Amino acid sequence: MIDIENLSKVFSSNNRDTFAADRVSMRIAAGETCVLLGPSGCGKTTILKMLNGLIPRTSGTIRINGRDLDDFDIAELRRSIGYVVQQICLFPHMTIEQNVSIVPRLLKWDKARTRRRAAEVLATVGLEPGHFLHRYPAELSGGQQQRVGVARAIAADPPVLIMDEPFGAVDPINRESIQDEFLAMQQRLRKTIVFVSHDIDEAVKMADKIALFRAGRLEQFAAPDELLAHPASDFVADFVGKDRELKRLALIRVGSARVADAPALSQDRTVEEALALMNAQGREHLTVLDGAGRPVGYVTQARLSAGVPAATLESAMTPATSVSLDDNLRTAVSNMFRGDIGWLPCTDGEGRFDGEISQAAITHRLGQTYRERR
Amino acid sequence: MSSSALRSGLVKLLQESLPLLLTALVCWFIVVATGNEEAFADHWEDITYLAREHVVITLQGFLPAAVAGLALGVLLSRPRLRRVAEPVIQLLNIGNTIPSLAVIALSMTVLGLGTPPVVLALCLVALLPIVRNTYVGLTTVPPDFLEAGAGMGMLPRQVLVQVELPWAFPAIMAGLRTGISLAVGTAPLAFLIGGGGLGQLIFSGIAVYEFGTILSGAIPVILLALLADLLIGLLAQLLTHPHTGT
Repeated sequence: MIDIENLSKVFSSNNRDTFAADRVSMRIAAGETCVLLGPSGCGKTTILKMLNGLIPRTSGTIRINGRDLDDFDIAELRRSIGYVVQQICLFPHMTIEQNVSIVPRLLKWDKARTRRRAAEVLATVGLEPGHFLHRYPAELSGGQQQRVGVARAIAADPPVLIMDEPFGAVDPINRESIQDEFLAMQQRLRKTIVFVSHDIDEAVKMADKIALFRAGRLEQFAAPDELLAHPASDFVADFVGKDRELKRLALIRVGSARVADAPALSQDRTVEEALALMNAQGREHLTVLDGAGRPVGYVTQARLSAGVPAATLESAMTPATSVSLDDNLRTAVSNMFRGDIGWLPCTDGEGRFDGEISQAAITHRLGQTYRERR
Repeated sequence: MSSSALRSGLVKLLQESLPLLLTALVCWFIVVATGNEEAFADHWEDITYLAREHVVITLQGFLPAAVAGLALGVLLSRPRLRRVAEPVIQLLNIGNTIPSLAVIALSMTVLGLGTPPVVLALCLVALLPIVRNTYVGLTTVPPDFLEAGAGMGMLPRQVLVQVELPWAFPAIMAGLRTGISLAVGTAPLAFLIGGGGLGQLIFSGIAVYEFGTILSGAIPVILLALLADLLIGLLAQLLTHPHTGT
């Protein structure tokens, strides 16, 4: 856990004081990822570097797992905080193994343990140890170097990780997949992470909590959905963008917005049965399932009533795509737009039908937080 | 070592020694063209004896210069001394423009005749490029690397050894190469104040206007300077990884 209280940093030049941090207080819970977000020059990097003493504080306290920063030996503190540097900064004269082993060596681990650990963390970040240990950074692609940068930071298994724009040096295509891998890794490792970014989309994707800064002041400290739905000031609203509701789509799972009691029938049932069911439930459409209960298509009341020359639903239905309950609403909406349709059948982990999701249901789900606050 | 690595190593060796081999060839051509093979053969015993002496006084001047130059370069590059570093480097730069002959002369006024003033003068001549290159190499380490090292918990001396010196290595080696070449090339002047070395052949050759004698002093000096440069260059190659240039 990281506790920041009244943290200030003043840079003085030409008799003018500039606040890089202005009485910032926040608490980051253990195992949480907190993204420090804001325009350049807002002080987010300064705050990050005060956490491991690279920049001295002007005033205020920082406690890491309850222990005041002043009580740490500075080198000991830094060895216990994993540090992913901006621009990655692998040392060019060291092999990947040597780069990754820096902190274990500083901690005087024995050779065998250090070597074992180096191979282990490379595997953790998805790099084949046998292939990479003895290479030099210049031989690796940007994405691979970035992975090594993360491996180096977690090598000594620190409980806290600080990262300065860790994915900034990776091209956009690779960035996406590296972010996904990093999220999956964090699911397993559960480190307390503080992470600087200037990209709202990255922050929304990676963060449990976002701290948004402006000129050294903490404008808002909240979970991503809260920040997007309830910006605390005009500055925050501006920063997160006019399309902030669309950004929320990526944060909400289909499962939490789906309609559970949606009608569905097996494909070997008749058109009459389908019409009767839709009439009974007052529905305009229903999902058609295959023998295993997986959605394969849909029928609408309008089309069936117009008369179709088919006995079973199998030949009367229109093929349909579906969306998994674990997908996010962004994916669902995208699929709806692609299919030019206002709703989609949902599937569970085994691909079986489990309710449906509609544009109305999504709107309702997004509006929930506003109704609650009224 | 695999055979391909061995082959590329041999190619490197050949490339590096090319200047020395070509110069040797040209020198020999001059000797033959001016009909001085015989003078060369006559002086052979002097050449080998004086060359050995030449190497000894050069090393006596160069080795302390290397040690002191590295130490001074490292010291000047430390943050605490940054303020005095620039003026000191400026001073060294000015010192570097003083002709070697003048340095030898000044050294003689302090230490008298013989080997000691020669060694002092050679040491001073070689010191300047070594200090300057070490200092420049160490002060051009990208700040991100320094911060990465410190941020991972390296102590200042660990940052120096593990990050800064490897980064500055090529610059330092270049300084050593320049330093030793200067020392070898300046050493002939030692003869003027009784210090021995190949200068004896050159200056006595000039005195009696014997072209062959001059050549049998001058050519070994040239080749020795190139050889010293080559040896340090190879040492640098040996300690450098092909993918990094450091």
